[in-house]
Amino acid sequence: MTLDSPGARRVLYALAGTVAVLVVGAILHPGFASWSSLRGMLVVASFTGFVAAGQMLVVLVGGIDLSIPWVLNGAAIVLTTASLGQTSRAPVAILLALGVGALVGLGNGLGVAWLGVPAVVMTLGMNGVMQGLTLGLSKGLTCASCGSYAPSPLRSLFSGALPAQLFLWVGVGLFMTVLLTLTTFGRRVYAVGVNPTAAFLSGVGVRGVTVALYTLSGVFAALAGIALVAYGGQPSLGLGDPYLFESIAAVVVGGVSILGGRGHYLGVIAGSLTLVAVTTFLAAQRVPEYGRLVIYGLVILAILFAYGREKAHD
Amino acid sequence: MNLPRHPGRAARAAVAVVAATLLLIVAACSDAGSPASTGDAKAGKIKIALSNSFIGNQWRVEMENVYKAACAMPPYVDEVECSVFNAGNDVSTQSRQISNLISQGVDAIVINAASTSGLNGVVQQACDRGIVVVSFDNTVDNKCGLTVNTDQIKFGQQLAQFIVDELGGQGNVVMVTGVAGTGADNDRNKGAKDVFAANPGIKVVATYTGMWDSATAQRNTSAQLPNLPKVDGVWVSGGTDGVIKAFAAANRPMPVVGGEAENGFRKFMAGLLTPKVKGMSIGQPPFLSVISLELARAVVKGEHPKESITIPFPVATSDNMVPGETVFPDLPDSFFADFTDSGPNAILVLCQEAATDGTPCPGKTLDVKLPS
Amino acid sequence: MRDALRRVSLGYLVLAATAVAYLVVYTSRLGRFPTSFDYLSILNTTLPLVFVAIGQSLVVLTGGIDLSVGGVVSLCVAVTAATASIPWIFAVLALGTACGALNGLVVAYGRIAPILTTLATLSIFSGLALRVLPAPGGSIPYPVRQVLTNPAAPTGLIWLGLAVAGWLVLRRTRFGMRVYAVGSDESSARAVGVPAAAVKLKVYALSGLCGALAAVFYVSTTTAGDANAGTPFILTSIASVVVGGVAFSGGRGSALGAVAGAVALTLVIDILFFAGIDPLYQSLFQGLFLVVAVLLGTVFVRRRRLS
Repeated sequence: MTLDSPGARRVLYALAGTVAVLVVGAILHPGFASWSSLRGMLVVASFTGFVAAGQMLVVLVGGIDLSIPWVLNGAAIVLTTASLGQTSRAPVAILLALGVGALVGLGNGLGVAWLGVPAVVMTLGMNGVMQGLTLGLSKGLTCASCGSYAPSPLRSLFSGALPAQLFLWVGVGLFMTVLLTLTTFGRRVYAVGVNPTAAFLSGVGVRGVTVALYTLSGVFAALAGIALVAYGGQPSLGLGDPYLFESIAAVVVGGVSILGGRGHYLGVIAGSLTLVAVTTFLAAQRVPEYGRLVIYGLVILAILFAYGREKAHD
Repeated sequence: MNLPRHPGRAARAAVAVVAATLLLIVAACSDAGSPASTGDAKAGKIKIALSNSFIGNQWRVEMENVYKAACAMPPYVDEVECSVFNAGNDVSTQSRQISNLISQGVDAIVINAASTSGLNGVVQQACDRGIVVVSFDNTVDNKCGLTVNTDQIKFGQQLAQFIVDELGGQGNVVMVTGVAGTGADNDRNKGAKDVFAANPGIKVVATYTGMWDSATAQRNTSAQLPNLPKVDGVWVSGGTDGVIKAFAAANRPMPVVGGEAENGFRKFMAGLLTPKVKGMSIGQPPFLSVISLELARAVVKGEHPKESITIPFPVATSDNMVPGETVFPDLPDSFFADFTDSGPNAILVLCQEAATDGTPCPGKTLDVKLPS
Repeated sequence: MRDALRRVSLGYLVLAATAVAYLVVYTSRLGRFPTSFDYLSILNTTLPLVFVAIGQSLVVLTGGIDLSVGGVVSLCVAVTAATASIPWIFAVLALGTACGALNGLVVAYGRIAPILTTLATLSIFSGLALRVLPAPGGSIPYPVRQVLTNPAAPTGLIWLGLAVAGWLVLRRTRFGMRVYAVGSDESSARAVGVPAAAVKLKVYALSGLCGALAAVFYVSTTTAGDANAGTPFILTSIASVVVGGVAFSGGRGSALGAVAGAVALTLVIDILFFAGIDPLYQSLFQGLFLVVAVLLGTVFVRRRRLS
């Protein structure tokens, strides 16, 4: 069921798309696909990859998470204010930050599954709530402990020839793949995504699955927040804003069906890299901002036409 | 989720709880927000409101904090009744707020606009009713209002000239721009491009946006760097510390940097963070809000002609870094280190608490010298 | 259809509640009732959102979503302000319709999910807007301003009335019926011979036209253009539709509800203003308002159904 042929084929398309972008880039801009360049893009893509993991989970059941930007930002600020830059406090701070993500995700899940609020509304509202809380509680990032840096073990995630961050991404990839393809939970996720009523009738706890997925999405947004703080040393306000639409785009370019029920995280990894590669390539070619936006949109459309189409109605 | 479901009793209970909580929070918060606007206006106190657009970045927070601090310090605490409103990046919201301020009958409105052109209509209505309108930073185009600003074209020129001079007119330069479609971004880029174009030895090898955001600037720089030849100079419109962090992480030789006034950038310039960076830091000062407050007050009181003001930038270079004055080791990297002017000709002097907490500086009268 | 009526009444209910709250906080803060200036400025600043919300509600009624409204509004604002002439305003309306039709073609005949299509075209239209108007500026002919959003007379009411009347007529046409049919159950609609693809194409084109109208009104109220002007409308139009009781699953609700939602959202801004909310916490309340309004709506509908 999970490795059905259309799903697997879409992953291949997504990978082919990434390779195509890299090859075109390398031809037009020598050195674009060199290892050092690729490594730089992979690190940047890993942040998108983290948030897209959460976004993919909710998209698999036909939902959407618009609360990602400020969950990410909130978790990032919790991490620094709780750790105060001390290595000994890092584990607690990381757990706290992930906990914030999980809590907000849980709220989203309960709202969507039990109260019947449409996912768009629930998560959009939650994004506003988190923005207000984050700004208010940190007094606009001027609180006494807001000047702390991320603890040094976290910051070393990004040093070295082969940054540990990439291994962390591999870890996320393994977790997602195992969770979705090898566990009962994963099979239930796809079942709910394909047909929630049928899944419910066959005994799947649809609400429980939904709540778990939104919670995980919050955790992944928080994880991205932690990674971004580790990368830049400190959080800033608006840290998560670029990831609202980018997470959706990465999921879709990765071959996940927006209607739910189909898709694999391997494709999302490829999708994240494709998006970053396109942006990087256009900047390297010194395409002005307006051209970058237009071409970015056209590339997404082209990819959608290639493998994002729905079945024809008869 | 497209499962058909019907909320039951639990849902109704939850709604009631949420609604009750909401009411409670509103009640608890309702007067915390604008402390200066409560209480009866004493006779002779003039009402000046700050209408800000976007609040989700540190510069805007500091700008509001110093405004609140100034309002709580003499002479403003005795003469002016202040209030502060945020609209977000939405022109309609800000228009509504300004209309409401007109209804409230304020004497002056100080504006940092969501769009330089988007408020022309409502500002005209304020002017028509004799309200003094002073806009700063992202100013309002409408000529009936006054403006307090720095010269954004000069911002671009001066940083670019610094880089050209440091490099002796020879070398590869990268430009990291801001948010496309805004007046400030256009002006800054124009100023820089003119200077670089006038120096044939300077080659601009890359131009990309950093969205005036350190994290974005860092990500974009990291992705670009492997594709770039040796970089001798970097011109940054905003997010400077992110650009430097990307160079450091890639183990590239550190170029000469001309950038904004982020505290993180200044920490690198002062050698508080490694590697030490040779650079020039020019900032759009957050205290523009306080100068606007003073201008508004003076114009309402008839002490100052109705004229716009252009103030010089506070400029800092890596040679004159003073902890506690131009760089702040204990404050976040994203903090803007130019919240106060300094030097003998300072327009005004503010303390650190004013910028971080919006509380008044102890035992001080705030003296704002408007440049003529 | 009876269900649709119930949902519409949710939008009105929220509007009534916010209007009462507005009057209460306004009078308690200022000690007098709002004046004609207040009503007029609410009307003129709400008009662009009202138009975008009508367009968005049409799309949502077919079970879709239009994220590209932000790009359409930005592009049309840029062109309107950059050209600043009356003939061009008609060209802008055509341009908006064409942008919408492009969405419709991709969604209906390209069979790509609406949210994805419009996410991609959002980027394209926004880029074009930046090309047309790199920095804020431009203008609009003075007569246009006098006719569309006169700051001294409620000319906006005429346009609001026309928009509402347009919807009421549209809903009773065969096309209007088909919009609901496609949104309720596309397969069944096809089975009984409704040309679903053509209906969708028209709906997206109409949404584009509404975006263009919003843009013209935007330039008229603000007297100038900004290439980023449309961005806030993406989320506010969705919020209006939601508060107005249009169901995201399609087929239920009405554009009138969305109009009510748009006005209610504008009033919420004013309520927060006069209530003196700490600006840092402002988005918290806007978020809660959205969720609570919808929650109350679902419970309200459920109650009615039970009784």
